[in-house]
Amino acid sequence: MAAAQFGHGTLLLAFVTTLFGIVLCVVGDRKRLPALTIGGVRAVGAVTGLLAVAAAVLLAGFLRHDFSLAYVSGRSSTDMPLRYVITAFYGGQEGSLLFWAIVSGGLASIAFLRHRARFPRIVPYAAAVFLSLQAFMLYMLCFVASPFELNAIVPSEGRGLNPLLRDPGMMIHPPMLLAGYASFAVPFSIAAGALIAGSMSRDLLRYVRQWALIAWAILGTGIFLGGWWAYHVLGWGGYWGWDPVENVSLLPWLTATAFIHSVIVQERRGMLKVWNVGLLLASFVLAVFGTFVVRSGLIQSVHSFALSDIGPYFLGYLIAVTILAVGLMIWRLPMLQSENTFDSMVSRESSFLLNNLVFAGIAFATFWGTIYPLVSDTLRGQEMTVGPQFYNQVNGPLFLILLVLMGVGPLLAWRRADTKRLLRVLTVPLAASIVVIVGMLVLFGQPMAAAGAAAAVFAGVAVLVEYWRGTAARRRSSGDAYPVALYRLVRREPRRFGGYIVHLGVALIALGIIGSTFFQSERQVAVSPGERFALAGYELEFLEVSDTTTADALVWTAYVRIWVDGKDQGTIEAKRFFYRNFENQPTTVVATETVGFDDVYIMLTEWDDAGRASLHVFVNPLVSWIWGGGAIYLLGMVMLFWPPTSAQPMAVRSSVRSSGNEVRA
Amino acid sequence: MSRSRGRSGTRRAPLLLVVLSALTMMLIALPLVAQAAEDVYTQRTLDLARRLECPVCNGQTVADSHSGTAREMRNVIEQKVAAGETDEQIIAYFVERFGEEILAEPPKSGFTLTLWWAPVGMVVFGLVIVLLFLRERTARTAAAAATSGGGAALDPELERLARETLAATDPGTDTHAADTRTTGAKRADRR
Repeated sequence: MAAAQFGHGTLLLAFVTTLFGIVLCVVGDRKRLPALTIGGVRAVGAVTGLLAVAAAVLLAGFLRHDFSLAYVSGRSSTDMPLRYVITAFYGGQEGSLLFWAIVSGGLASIAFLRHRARFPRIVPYAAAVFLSLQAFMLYMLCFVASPFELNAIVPSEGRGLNPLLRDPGMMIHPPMLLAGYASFAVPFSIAAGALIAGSMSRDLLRYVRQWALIAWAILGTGIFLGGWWAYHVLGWGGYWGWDPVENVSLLPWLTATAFIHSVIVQERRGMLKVWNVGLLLASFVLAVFGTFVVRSGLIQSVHSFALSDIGPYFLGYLIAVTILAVGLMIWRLPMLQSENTFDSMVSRESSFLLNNLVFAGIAFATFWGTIYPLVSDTLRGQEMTVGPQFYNQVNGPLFLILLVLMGVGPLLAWRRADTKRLLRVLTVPLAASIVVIVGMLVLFGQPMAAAGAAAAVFAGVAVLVEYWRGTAARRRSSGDAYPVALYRLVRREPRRFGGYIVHLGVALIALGIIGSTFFQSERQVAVSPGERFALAGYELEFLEVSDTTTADALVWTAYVRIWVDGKDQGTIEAKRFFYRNFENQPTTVVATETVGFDDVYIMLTEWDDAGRASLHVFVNPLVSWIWGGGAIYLLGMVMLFWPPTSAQPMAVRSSVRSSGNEVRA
Repeated sequence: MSRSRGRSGTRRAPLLLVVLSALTMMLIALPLVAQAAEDVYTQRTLDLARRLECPVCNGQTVADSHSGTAREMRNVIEQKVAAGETDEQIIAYFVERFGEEILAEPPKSGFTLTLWWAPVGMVVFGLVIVLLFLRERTARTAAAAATSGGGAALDPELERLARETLAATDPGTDTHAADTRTTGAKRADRR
């Protein structure tokens, strides 16, 4: 009881602090009183500290099973394992909002306190913008969706967590995704602050990019984990279903990916400033959209765990943020003049433009498909569904173009590309992709799959060629052994070569997606113990289905043995969980086993007292490549943050010399 | 009822009873009588089911969903397939009952053409803008490039590598000066 009041009081204090901080920042700059602005910037840290205290109080409530708190009793119970008691923290609206506020607050505190001395005019405005975002969150936490609401009658036992959330994947996927959304508040605030203060220096741009990269990395990881979770828990044989919640998480990721590409053009050539600022601001607006659209009940989804009446507040907030973003851009348009011009249609710059066009196209198609049911309902009163077919048919070709660009783009020179040289470096990737397309057509005859695989191989080989050329040039110039040359190469330009690793990961993911989309096999069978059935070259033997009880659930398990060419490849277990209080909502743990390039994927659907079971069985080729590609992708992202070795004149000389060698050779 | 259909085994307190009744609900719809491994649905049923959206579970097709409603719909499709109805007849049957929203893939006709063509239109529009932008910008620099082209007589690869290395090692190239100048000016007139 007292804890709840303490927690609520902390949130109120944090709310007041945000308002106070905004006043300090704005007045401090207007009246030329730096001491005030410093206080305002520090308010960001103070608010985060208060939020952390409130979160600790709530977490303590969960750990002590304090069922006087409605949020705790509604989402946890004493028999739940500790890890899910902690997961329950963000298992509802209130906790998610609190989590969002803490993550964005923590990152913003680091960003603002680190950069304040360097950008004394911009950071206070950035802090003011950020504090107004926090003010909204805190208003919600204090007055609309308080996590410290008390139960009128204290129940002796809690209700327990939504069963879909009781999965190891759910311990990291939702917080990662939420953190990704929340972290876009930081680059947004810095960019908005720069627009208000009226200066966007190259130096600042580097920080904006850095924070955008962090947000992009966290969100990307969250999306990726979501795919992993869906694959292992939802049991329909796939990892991405173009569900509204998945789509809205992809939107800010798409615009942010476009941004981190096109901002390179701004850094190098001082061009595309309006477009870049637009992408950055749009990414945050879309992140807000993504956080709330499903919670508000505006668009229906399988993921609607935390439906509530915050719809109108969210809409107001979204509109306010959009108006702020668009207004600032229009106001500061003169500041965003290009400093350079394009030299040629065929250049790195124009390939970035095309890349951005395609990313924007995918983002638009995804957004359009997601809101189309709403459009249709409003304009003609006809409800409708936009299923995966729409996205596959519209986004599929766009992703294909993207893969080709991914291969060509990095090989193009800045300003003006030399066609002859380009053709020379493209020889190997082109040859590889021709081999793939012909081979695929002969073997499988699926033109779309063949084109996709060829594009992915083209992009992947292009990266390998760039690595090879760079390493070889370095080796010739410095005489380093290959591994040393490779290390030095990457060490000198981690951004460029880390980016290539990300590209390599994307190429592998693309191959995995193509394999599992075009070559999936599926059967639904009814089997008795000991019976065997075949699918895509595998022989599957159903052993038995049996039940066990855990502390909070009844678990049914089907055991299936995999045979390939008469050889036992092991037994896998497909489970169904019936959690107490949620018996009508059984959850699934899919049996998966990677055999070679294939995943054998089995879901237990029904069973009877004679021990006969009904199984939904898939053979999904190359899904393991998606996870492997994802791991490489993550590695590349980490490399992007690796600080480059300090620039020395030596590096320039050796590099020029190496290229001279290359020309002679 | 629940005893007869549920799996008989050790009694496990009320929890098990609740579970069994839940199971019963699930099992009623599907009698599993045959005694050999058999396909529950034909491939054609699954293909048709994939074209229909499960009405009670958002975001899953009738083929993917494991809800009771979806299973019943699959059974209906199976019966209709067995009765020799065409794909179109079966789909039309469901559209008539549930409305157009039952279709997983929106029809490429009438109003929903806007769904399909809007993204294409946007990409084409964007492409035109980008091309116009590039043409205008390149035309503007064409003359300048022609006169100052002397430096480009070097091997283009050499030049490219040199430029990239310079840009990578020294971030403060030409644009940097311009940037700080404007910033400085702005700051000066504010203070």
